[in-house]
Amino acid sequence: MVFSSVIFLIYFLPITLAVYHLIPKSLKNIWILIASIAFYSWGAPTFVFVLLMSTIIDFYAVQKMDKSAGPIRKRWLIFSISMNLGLLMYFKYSNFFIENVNYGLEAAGISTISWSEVILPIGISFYTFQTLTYIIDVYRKDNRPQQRLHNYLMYIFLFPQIIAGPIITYKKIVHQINNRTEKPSLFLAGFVRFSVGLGKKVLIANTIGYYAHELLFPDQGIILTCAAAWLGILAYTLQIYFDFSGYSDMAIGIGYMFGFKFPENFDRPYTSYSISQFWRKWHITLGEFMKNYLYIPLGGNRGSALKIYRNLIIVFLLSGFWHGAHWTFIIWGAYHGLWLILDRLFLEQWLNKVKWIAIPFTFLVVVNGWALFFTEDINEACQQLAAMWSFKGSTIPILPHQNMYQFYILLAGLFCFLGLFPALRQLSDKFVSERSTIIGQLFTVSTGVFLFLESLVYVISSDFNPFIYFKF
Amino acid sequence: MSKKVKYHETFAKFLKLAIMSLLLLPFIIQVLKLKEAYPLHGVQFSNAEKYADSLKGSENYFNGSWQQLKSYQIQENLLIRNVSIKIRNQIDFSLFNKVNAQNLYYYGNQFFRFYCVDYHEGILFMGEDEIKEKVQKIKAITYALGDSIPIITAIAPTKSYLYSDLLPEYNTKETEYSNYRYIKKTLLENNMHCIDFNQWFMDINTTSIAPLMGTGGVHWSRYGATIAMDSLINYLNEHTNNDFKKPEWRFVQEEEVPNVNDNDAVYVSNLKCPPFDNELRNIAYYETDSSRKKVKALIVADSFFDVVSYFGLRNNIFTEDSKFDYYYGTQPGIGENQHLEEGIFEEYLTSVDCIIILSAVVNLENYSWGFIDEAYKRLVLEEV
Repeated sequence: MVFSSVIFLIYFLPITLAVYHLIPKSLKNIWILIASIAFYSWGAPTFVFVLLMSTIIDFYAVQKMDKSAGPIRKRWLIFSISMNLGLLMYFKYSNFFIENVNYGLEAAGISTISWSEVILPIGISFYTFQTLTYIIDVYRKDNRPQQRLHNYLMYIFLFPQIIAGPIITYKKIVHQINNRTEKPSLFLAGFVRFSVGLGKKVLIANTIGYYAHELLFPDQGIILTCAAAWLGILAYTLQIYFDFSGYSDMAIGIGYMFGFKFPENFDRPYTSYSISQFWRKWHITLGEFMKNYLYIPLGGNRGSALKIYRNLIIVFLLSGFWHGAHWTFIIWGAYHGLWLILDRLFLEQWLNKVKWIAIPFTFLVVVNGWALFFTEDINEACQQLAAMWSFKGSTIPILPHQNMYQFYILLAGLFCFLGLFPALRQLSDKFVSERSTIIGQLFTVSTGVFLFLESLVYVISSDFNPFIYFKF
Repeated sequence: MSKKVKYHETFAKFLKLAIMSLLLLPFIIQVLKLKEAYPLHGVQFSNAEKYADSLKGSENYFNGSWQQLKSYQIQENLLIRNVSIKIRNQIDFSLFNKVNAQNLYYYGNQFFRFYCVDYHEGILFMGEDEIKEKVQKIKAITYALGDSIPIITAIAPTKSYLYSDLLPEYNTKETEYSNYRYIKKTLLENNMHCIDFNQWFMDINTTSIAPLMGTGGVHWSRYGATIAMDSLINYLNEHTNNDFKKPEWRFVQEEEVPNVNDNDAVYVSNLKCPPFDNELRNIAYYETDSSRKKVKALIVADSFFDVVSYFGLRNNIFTEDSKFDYYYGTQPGIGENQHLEEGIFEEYLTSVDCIIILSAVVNLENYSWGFIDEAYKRLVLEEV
């Protein structure tokens, strides 16, 4: 089930919320768990059993680990991590590995391995990372293990975030599992936040996404000009931001409506002064996961410069690979890793001296990165980059309703670069404090209602609505 | 707790209740069936309901295919879906002149069909050889039927020509190797009958006493259809030495309900506040001249003839046994469209006063929709 679908907006969300606010506190977590399992299993129920089984095993394995010490403790840790990474490897990467091995075998003239393709369960990447945070946090003794199975299952399956994040580390939510305040003002802030996210996805990302697709994937025989390639990738740049940050806003907003406070996932990433800063503002929870659970254990900033660069490259290669089992994602990860190394070497210092160029330069680097990311086909990515840097051809295919696409691109640009979203967020967050005036409250809620209704109208009357980050 | 904070909390509670009600409203409407679905024009729903029911079974449930269809089914059966579509369409139309209907576009104050350049630039050009072959076949059929039964190709007007100044520049490029130009040229070179209503409407568009095509329609208006048929009868009388009855008509006051046919594009755009054309004139037909004979014709035509057919004009000038073969049966017809059945083909063709192939410019890529080939096979090849 996706947030921007009729079944979610008309049936799932209102019923889940209504029941949640009517039942006693002791049943609330169980109700969220039931709703979350229903939410996840709507898409493909087969996988829910696999994930449930794995989560239950994890729950008991971590309890065993917590009670043991020394090498036995480590063994439980390895068992639990291996099981989760094993699931991820099987479901997400086995096709990729077999495909590449078969390429090699075919080239060598050896008969290939016969293999029926494994279907990727949605959200498995997010599921795995979230589970790992629990296992590792308990192993590190940052947290005590969860004592109640249903609470642990609820944390893992929590429907606002199970499909596409934000990745919520166990230590950030543990206190909210049993004790969370459900103030009306928080509910209202959540509704506004959800509506903003829905609007970002439905009104902006979907429209720009169509335009990006038409430009980036021209009909056969039509040559991609330099201008069209840049405009297309620019549109994709905006689409992916509005799509993913919209999803995160919706997740955070729903969390508020149920009394949870999830971590932020985006903070005006396209206004970054360097790639290092970009990764502190883009998909923040993934960045934090990578830093705390991979980069630091690898050695982090300790050791020689070469060791740090090695760590950075490993982290970004794996980050790219986490996004998808395709060479384009791996190259995209390496590309960002390299820019981070350049930042460490000299670039960030230099950009700090010439701030007026830092934002456009970083944006340009990011946009070029998306040229590697928008397709799973490495040839298409190369053609895209070649067209972008050929400086040949200034014609742009004019689509019907060009004015609409131009309007939304301009609007998206304004929101990206003028920091309008933080302003909206601050406005909605004012509800959390009681200092806001009645008129202020009314204005903010009215904005949310308007965005919600307009988006709902578009969701109900359209068929095409996928989230880009679902495939990860 | 201060009085102000308490006051705010109470207000927030009230707002929360309002938002919860808002979220639940569509669900309540659906469950209690509080609102009838708004009617939509020209919408074909997929048969998701049927398919979802046929997919019942654990296998389809576990692989997610049932849920996928069930989602479509739920979406299509939402009682607020149709009104949502109308509001969405209105927003898109008001803000961006965008029409959410297949192949319909809005430029200036005109609705256009087939915005694309395909027929203008000749992308869908049938090819010189095929057109020449078709015309040669018409020649042979005419010879087989005798000169007294003319086969008239009538090219209906198209807004892309009449209002080409409103279209984006790249969309008005033309080539002589388009179906429109080349069919007309080849017919005339071979002394076959061709009436170009498209050119004629372009010539008289600015001086016409009533709109020839409604701003919200893609077909000719009732007035446009009437004067076109009048012109067709004139042409027939001139070329067959007959004195067929001409349309008898007069303008009447606008009906309260806007003229559906002249606003067809507006209707299928499914807007909340549709921009109907106030300039359109309504027409009533009457019969005083019983001394003159009506035309018996086989009319192979597209929807342009619907305008002639449904509002009294057809009965005013054509005999009752005239047949209107919609797209020559290649498209599902409605109403009284009659396809020529086997057994009566030759007999019927030799009994008519004329054969009319009426086609919009865009439909010329399927010139005569197979009728010429069929008639050639039956009347020329089989006779030999």
